[in-house]
Amino acid sequence: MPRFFFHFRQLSDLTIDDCGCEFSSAEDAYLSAFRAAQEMWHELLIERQDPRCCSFEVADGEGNTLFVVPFTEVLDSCTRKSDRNPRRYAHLLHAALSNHQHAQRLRGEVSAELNIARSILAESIGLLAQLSKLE
Amino acid sequence: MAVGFPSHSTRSRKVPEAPPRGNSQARRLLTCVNPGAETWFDGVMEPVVKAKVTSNGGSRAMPNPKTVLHAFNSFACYSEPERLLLQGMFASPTAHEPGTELISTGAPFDGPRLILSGWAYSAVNFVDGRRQIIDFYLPSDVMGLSTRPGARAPASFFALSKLVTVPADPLVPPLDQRERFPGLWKACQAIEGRQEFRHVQQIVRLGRQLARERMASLLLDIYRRLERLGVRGDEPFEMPATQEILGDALGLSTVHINRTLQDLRHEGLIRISHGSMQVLDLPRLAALAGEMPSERMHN
Repeated sequence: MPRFFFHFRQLSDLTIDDCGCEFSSAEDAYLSAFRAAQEMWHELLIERQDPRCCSFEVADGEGNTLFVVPFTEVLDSCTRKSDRNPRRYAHLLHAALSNHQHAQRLRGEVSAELNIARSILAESIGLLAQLSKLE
Repeated sequence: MAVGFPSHSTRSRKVPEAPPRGNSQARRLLTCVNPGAETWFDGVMEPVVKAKVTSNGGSRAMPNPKTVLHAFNSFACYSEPERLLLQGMFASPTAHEPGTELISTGAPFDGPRLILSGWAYSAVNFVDGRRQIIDFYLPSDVMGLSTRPGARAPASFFALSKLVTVPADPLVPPLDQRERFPGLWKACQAIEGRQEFRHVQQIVRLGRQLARERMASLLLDIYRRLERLGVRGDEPFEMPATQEILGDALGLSTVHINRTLQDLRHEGLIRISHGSMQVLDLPRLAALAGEMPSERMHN
């Protein structure tokens, strides 16, 4: 299994991980780093340190940085979770239905205006035809 | 007459009642896993801990059967029949591969097994794949032991590394035989008491301690237990528990375990290298773990 190295950044300080952990894929490595960030949030707060200034810089065995996991992602995931609130869904559904009805009403109005335009056009074409006969 | 087992301070004494030399399978099993086992069969006293030089130049403490037996001296004094019963346990060792399930959850505790070498653990497995490791079992520990009649396993037991065990039935004398074997009964209760104490420690770790404290507490517990088998602070000991295993024991992710171990390493408390560990600063490790004097008594 490939080994990933989780360098820990706190503001300008970078603690190098010279041991690393083995994971079957980069996705598993990301998920474990994310869980570690979740666990470390409350410990950093207890130590009166700001977790928002921390991140894991994940590198492969050759030292290439693969991805960065900022600890703020833990908060971002909470925001996305609240977006999935059923009450919020209901509100969105209501808004979508309202928009749909409004669109249907506008479509009807446009359709009526189009019919008027078509009849005027047809009338204009008829008048032009008559005019050309007179000439 | 109550007779204790020979301690390492009486090295000139010959080990009495050693298992028969003709038991070739037992000899092979014990000696292939542990070179020190050979000396037990030969009845020659050897240092309590054998140091095995590893491929990377380090050395690891290797307990041998005599050392395991020696650990039982701290529990009780034994009569001659009890001593013979205990020594008889070593006649039929069994080898287990890493990952082997030794006792299933809910299985009756009807066949306790004494670990001669290797590590095991007990764990509760979740349906979604998560796992909580309850306890580690090291050489001289007994798995599946309970003085309660009809007891069943509350968790499953697995071999963590290559394991050699022997049946430890003599340690649990039948109810009507307990007065005949007071030493064994006392040892049985002492082993059970230590297990209960370790479970309390685990509750405290998971319930109230931060990651660094949890790690220090677990490593200290392991060190103290190996210390009874002769491990000294200035020598590395075998540490087969991976970061994933430690994570499942301490309720932390693998990356968090990695980070915590590095913290302890950078602070000069421990040294880790190729599956072995060394305690560099025992007083500071004990202070970080929050070790109480009462814990030393149980360890």
